[in-house]
Amino acid sequence: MELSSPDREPTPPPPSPSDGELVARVLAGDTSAFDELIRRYQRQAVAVSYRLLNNVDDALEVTQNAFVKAYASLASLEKVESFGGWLMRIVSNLSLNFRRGRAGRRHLSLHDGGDEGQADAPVQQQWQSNTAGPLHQLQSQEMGEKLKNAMSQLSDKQRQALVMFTIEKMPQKQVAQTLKCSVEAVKWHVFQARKRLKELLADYL
Amino acid sequence: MNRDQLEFAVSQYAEGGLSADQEAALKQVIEGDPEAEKILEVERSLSSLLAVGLGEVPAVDYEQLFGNISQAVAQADAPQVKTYRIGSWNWPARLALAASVLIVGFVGYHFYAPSSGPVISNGVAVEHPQQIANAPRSSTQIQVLTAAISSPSAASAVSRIAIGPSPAAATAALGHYEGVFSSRSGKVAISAGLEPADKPDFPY
Repeated sequence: MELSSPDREPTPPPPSPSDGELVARVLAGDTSAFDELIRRYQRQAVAVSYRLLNNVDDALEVTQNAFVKAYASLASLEKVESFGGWLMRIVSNLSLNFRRGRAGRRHLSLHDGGDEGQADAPVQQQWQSNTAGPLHQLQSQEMGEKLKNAMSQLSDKQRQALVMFTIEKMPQKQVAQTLKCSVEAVKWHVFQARKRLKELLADYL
Repeated sequence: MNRDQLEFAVSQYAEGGLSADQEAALKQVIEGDPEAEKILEVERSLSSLLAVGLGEVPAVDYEQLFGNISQAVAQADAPQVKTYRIGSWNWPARLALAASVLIVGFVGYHFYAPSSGPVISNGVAVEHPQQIANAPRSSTQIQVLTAAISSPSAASAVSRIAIGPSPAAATAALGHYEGVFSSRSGKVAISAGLEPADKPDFPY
């Protein structure tokens, strides 16, 4: 009974389908294939959105909207294999729009600071948890605020490139697809972002 | 390598964006250049500042998020590949489409069809080569060759005039008047032409 022999090597799991194959299946009517795409990219989408918005609840909302938008306009995706970059472009554009909308709402709000405080909370908590003592906490709060302000002074492209490449460690090629530019342009945006941050954060370097 | 180039290279090095060869070459530069070493130190400080200052993404229940997104997607319209079926169009739309196709075909033919214009022969445009009238070839002056075409049809009595030296005159004159040709602006005088025989009010 050779087939039932315990020495027989286990059959390798089937290779997971590529993004292009999943997209093709969705377009052919197999909507369950989109679930695999959601599982594949939801963490990255949340991370990118969170870095751009500094608020996890907003990031989750943007992520959900981005997937729904991607699903509805999937037929317009020209290169099905670049689904990841395309989705991140939707995520980052929605995040930037959300950010602008939030800035507008805050500007109009009489209770300025409430929204901002919530947005900063996760960043500050994380930073605070890594330090000890009231002096360090004060310093870290000040630095966290300074870092947030410095990031907000970057251009959209610089901030997106920095978040995706430097902070989220996405491959340069995918960042280039997301920003609709060349890999060299991504390097340039990252360089310019870092250069600007070095100027703005000179006291902390 | 100037300061900007050095900063760019060191920034890429700190980000891990250089190839192995580039990295090895830059290491050598950094070892022998205190300024480059200082730039690298600042870049590394910035990287750790970003890593620590921004922290990790807060914990998220990704199973719940997946469920929410999946539900929202299920309620959304399925992606539709747009198709256009001419059979479902009404007759004005069909007529407009047919007219558009005809117009495009006509314009395309007009611009891209092989030219039925004059034959180019020795640089002289000749509409009806057998009917061309050459000026005397013995003259050493620049000859103006005029050709009036007596066409069988009145509508095209004077359809095209080709102007320029005849090949013989050009050959004879070029040797003696090469300088004249190159230094003077070209002037053309038509010495004679034929009136259209059966269409006196022809404007040209």
